[in-house]
Amino acid sequence: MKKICFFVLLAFFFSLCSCQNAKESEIKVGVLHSLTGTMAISEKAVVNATLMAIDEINAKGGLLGKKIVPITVDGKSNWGHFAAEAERLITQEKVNVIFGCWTSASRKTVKPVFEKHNHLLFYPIQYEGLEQSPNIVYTGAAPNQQLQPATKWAFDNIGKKFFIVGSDYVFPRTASAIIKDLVTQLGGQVVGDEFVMLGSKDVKGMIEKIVAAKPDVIFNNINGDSNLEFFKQLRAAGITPDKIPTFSFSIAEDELRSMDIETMRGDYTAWNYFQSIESPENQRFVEEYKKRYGEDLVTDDPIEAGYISVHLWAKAVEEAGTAEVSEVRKNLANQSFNAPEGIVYIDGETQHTWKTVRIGRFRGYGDVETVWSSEKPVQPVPFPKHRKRAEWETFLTTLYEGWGKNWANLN
Amino acid sequence: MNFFKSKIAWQLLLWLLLIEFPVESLLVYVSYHNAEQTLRTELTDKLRAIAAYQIAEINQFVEEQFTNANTISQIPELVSIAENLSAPAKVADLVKLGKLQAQYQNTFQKYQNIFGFKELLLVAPQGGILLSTSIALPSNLNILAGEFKNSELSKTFLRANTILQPDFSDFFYLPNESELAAFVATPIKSETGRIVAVLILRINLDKMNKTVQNYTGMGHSGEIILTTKMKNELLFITPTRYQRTDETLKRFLLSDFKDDGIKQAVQAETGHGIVIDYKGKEVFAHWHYIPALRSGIIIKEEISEAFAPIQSLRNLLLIIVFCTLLLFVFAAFNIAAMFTKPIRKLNEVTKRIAAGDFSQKAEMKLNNEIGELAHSFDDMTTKVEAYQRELEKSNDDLERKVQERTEELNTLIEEMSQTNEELHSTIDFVETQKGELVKKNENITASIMYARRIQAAILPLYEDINKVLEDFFIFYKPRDIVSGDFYWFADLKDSKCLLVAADCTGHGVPGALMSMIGVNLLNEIVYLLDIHSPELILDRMNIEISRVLQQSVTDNRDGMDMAIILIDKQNKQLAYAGAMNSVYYVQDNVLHELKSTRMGIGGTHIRPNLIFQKQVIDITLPLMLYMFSDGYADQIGGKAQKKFMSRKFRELLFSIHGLATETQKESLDLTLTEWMGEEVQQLDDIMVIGVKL
Repeated sequence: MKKICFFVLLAFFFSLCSCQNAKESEIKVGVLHSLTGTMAISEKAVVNATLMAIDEINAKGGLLGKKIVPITVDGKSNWGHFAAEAERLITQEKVNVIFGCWTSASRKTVKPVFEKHNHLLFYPIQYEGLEQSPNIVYTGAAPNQQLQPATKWAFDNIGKKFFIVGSDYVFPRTASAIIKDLVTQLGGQVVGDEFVMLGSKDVKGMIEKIVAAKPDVIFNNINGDSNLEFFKQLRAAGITPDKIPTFSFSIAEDELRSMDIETMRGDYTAWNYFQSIESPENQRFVEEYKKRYGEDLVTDDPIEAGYISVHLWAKAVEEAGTAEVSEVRKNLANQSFNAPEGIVYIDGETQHTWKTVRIGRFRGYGDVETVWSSEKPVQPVPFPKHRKRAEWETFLTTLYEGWGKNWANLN
Repeated sequence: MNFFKSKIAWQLLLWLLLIEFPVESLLVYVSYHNAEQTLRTELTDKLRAIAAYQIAEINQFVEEQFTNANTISQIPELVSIAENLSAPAKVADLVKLGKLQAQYQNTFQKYQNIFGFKELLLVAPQGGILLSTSIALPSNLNILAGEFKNSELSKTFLRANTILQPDFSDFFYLPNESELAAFVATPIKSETGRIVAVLILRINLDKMNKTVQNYTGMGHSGEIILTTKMKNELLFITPTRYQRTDETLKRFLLSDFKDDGIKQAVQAETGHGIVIDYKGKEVFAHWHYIPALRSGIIIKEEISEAFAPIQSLRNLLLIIVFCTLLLFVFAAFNIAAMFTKPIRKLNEVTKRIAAGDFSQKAEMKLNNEIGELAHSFDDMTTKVEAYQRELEKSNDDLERKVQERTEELNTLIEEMSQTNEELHSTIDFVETQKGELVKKNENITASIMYARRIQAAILPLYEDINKVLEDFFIFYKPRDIVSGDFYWFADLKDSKCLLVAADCTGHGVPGALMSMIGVNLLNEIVYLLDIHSPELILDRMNIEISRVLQQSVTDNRDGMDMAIILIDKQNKQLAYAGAMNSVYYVQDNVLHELKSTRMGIGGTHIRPNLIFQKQVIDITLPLMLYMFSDGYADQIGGKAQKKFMSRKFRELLFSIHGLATETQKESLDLTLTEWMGEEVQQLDDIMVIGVKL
């Protein structure tokens, strides 16, 4: 009887240990993007890339010998819902990191949640800058890695008269301000700036003003479906790339798939990554992505940024020797990764990423011709230096207050 | 030398080593492994700390260059110079430009000296050098055209001009120069923010080299190398530790280069571990990527030096292991000697004792178990010696007793042989007697055999009976040589005949004598007195037996049972009378019994009130008649050793009545033989007569 009791206790002990081991052999991570709603079409691809990177690491034996277990949740294109899900992932699912958000509105809504819990978000999209949180790693471009070089390049190579259009929320409004500042400083002219509600097709007035202003170049910060109507009516108004080229900052290879390439060929864009980059790292990345998700799909900048986010985080975990958030955060600085776009590096001071700047021209589906490249990673500068940081913060507060404490114009 | 022949010593050594060696090996392994791990961790931490320090220093160096470049680019005098030079350059007014360049050259040189840059270039947004302190890159040269088109210099210029922030160029060699070059480019903005020119400053790398070549805490073999990838080459940005000052920086073809650490560092991988360095030496290294320089840094120390403490520990551990082994060998043979010496002595003493010398003693004064064993052994030999003496004495006694017993036995044997002789005499006498008895028996048997012949002679001849009765059988089986049963037949002419079956009292000779009397009396009654009726014959027989044997005056009670049938073929009748002797007949497939009068002939059977009854049956229908003595039915046999019994006898007769008479006789004989088996003796004379009419 004593022997039986002993063996029962032993079995119980080992079962407890194995339960404990099962939990300890996993690293939970959150993936927070819109899987439904207006942003789903763009964000799903980022989710794919994020999961692909996780699978790659798991296939090589995991991280610190543990398997990364992603918990993917739907932000439903609703910024409030993003914040609620972030809260749930942190407090209930106890994830070690969250990869997520696309729109600046969603990022700005979840930011307080991450700061409250002193947690960690990897944000993979180019954005307007003017932000620096110790709880966010920005793996997309800062303004000096996309907007400003594009403006200067357009100024030097296309013309001095700019017309700025955009969706009416924080990113296009801020981008517009940055571009305006720069164009003015360079001695150029912003002949007009027009904004349309996110998702709206009411672009007629905007087109009329462009036609009337006769700019040398149009800087387009319209996001989402509105672009389809914008370009349809732009072409209808006789504005084609050979006459007035358009510089789009939210149209990458993926968005181009839903547009008429014949009317887009010759227009410009600026990103850190193009699918057409010729490097062994990018070739492998594109092949793997297409193999997993379909040959007809394309890779683009946000997809690649989603992918590198996971790898940069993994390197910090490896250096920290643990996936525990506070330890990982201490090791984020100076992490580097030989990414499909070239080497990327987390700037210790800003927690933004050193990235290669590229200006491209639409050539075909999934095919952007690089017309200029910095050829090396450029140090991120989240707050453009032509205004003081306090001025930028006032600018943002004015926008936020003006929209009734929202990061987008909902009226 | 004897010790080395000792099996115990070798076995002991083997066991000691089996126990000690794994434990010691484990301890050595754990100690060595722990020490190695600790050292490795310490080394990793040390190299990582050095790397962090170096990266911080290099970043600070880069930042200083940026700050200085920014500062210069914002100096109003220089902005003004840039603006003044841009205007004639833009319209290609070379004369004016030349004058202005000459005017500003000294000022430009002054700023170069103040900020410690090696060269300064002021470049117009279109790429033309407005002002230069460089010989290789003189004024009016366009860095966007000619040999500098697409050069790192032009790229740096374009980056600064496009991104609008200071840019640190990659490291490269200017044409006709052996010294590595690196530049910082920064845009010069007018008061309104317009880009009027780009200031390009050649960096003095001495400070960086000095920083990198700080080998504090890195022993003799420690090295810090900054390296960058240039097309298919790996370029060392800083000199190696023991490089001569006049020696050019090292560069390697990427495909030939073996150092994985450096290769990983320039590919933006951070790591540490043991790798083979550019010299082919095994080193412990830590490597990291520095984005500002697009370079990798590797901090390394040769294994032979880095792990020297571990080597010493390993040697020490090996010496300890070797010494321990020697100690164990020494201990094994010494311990074995403690056992083998006394065991050998005991063995020798034992051999002598085995040879019969009980006076031998081990006499060892050891204060341990072996000493006790030796003491016990000596005690034992003393006792064995005493026992030996007692045994010898006992043997003598025993031999004496055996002699006495042998003598007694011899006397007894003599007496017995005498008795034997007497017995032989007795046996001879008995043999003689036996011979006489056999002879007498033979005589008696011969007499009886002769009597049988007489008895056989008086029994009717088969042929005589056959003359009258065509189909019949007589199963006649005396118990002894002569029989007490007999049959008798008389042909009375007129198709009549008499058939008698009789069973006299007793069997053997007495029975035979009675049968002789019976036959005589029947002959007398039938032939002389002409009495033919069965019941009358029986009456007469009864009287005559009593008379002949004088039973009225003696105590003789002999007599006989008898059945008599008179067959009258002419009248188709059969008359029967029986004295204690019934007959059976089977007619029309039914067995009938003609019961006898319950009175025998002679002896005490005479009953005055009883007369023999005659029974007459019709023999028109064929029938099978059976007459018999009681011998068959009374015979013991079967599994239960019981009498055959009348009922069974009747059933047997009924079952065979349809067969031929001779077959019936055989069946009766066979059934009787089977009933009796091999061991049962016949108890009485047996007789069965069957007549088919």
